[in-house]
Amino acid sequence: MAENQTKPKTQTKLKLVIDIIIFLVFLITMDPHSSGITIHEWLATSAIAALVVHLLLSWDWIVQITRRFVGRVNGLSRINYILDWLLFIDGTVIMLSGFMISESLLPFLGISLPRNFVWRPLHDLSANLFLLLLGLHTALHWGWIVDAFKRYVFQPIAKLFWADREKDLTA
Amino acid sequence: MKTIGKIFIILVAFVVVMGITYLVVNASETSTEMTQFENGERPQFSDDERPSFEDERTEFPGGDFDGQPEGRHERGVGGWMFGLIKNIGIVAIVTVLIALPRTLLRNRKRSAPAATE
Repeated sequence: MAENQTKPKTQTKLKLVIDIIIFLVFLITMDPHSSGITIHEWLATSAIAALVVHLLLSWDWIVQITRRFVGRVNGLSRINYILDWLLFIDGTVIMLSGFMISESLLPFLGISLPRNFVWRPLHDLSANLFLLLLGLHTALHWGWIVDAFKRYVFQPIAKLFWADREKDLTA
Repeated sequence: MKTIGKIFIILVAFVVVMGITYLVVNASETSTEMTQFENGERPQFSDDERPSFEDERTEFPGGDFDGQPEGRHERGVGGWMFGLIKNIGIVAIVTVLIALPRTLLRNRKRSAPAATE
């Protein structure tokens, strides 16, 4: 029983950490002129692993909604599900177009792909769209984000602070 | 084993979307070229500007290419900060526009039954 309770707790913690990492990576990769193209490409590619973990942690929800999508699902879950698919598709388009115009990663691996002038505008467009979709995704999960931050960031910090104060008072 | 299966499904979905995108982009490019030739149009660049696809990088006239490969023209700390704040700002605005009315609506719903009691 206790194990069952601690599992979601650690999962939520892990999810929060992964989501923060993804958000930070996204912010850095959104500005390749500042980070440099090498960091931009390697960081974005390594973010695939974090995105896979993010999807694995939400797997039960994805399966549940996929099964019930046509039938009985509340409106918000349906919107969330469609939005998540749009994010997945857009993220994949960013990755593919990024690989097609790669200047650092693929040449380093010795891979050369045929050039096509469509990929660059597609990369820019899908990245800008991703920013909007990410805003929507964040907004729809705002309650969860606030709860998780309260529980795993603010409360532990407050506890540390108050424990120190109590120690000072008793001394 | 279960986790490997899940990862496999995610990667398959990833590859399928990539494949569809690649086909769509190539098909649209081919159809554009066909329409140009059917209309008797020529590509917009002259002989000396014609891109040679043997080059490592090809740039087309009219683009925002400034003579340096993309990403090499790095900005200072100010530019980096501006980009960062701009991106956070966009996400924050979208979030506030949606999350705030939802929270207000939920609070009103919660307070309505309490007021009637």
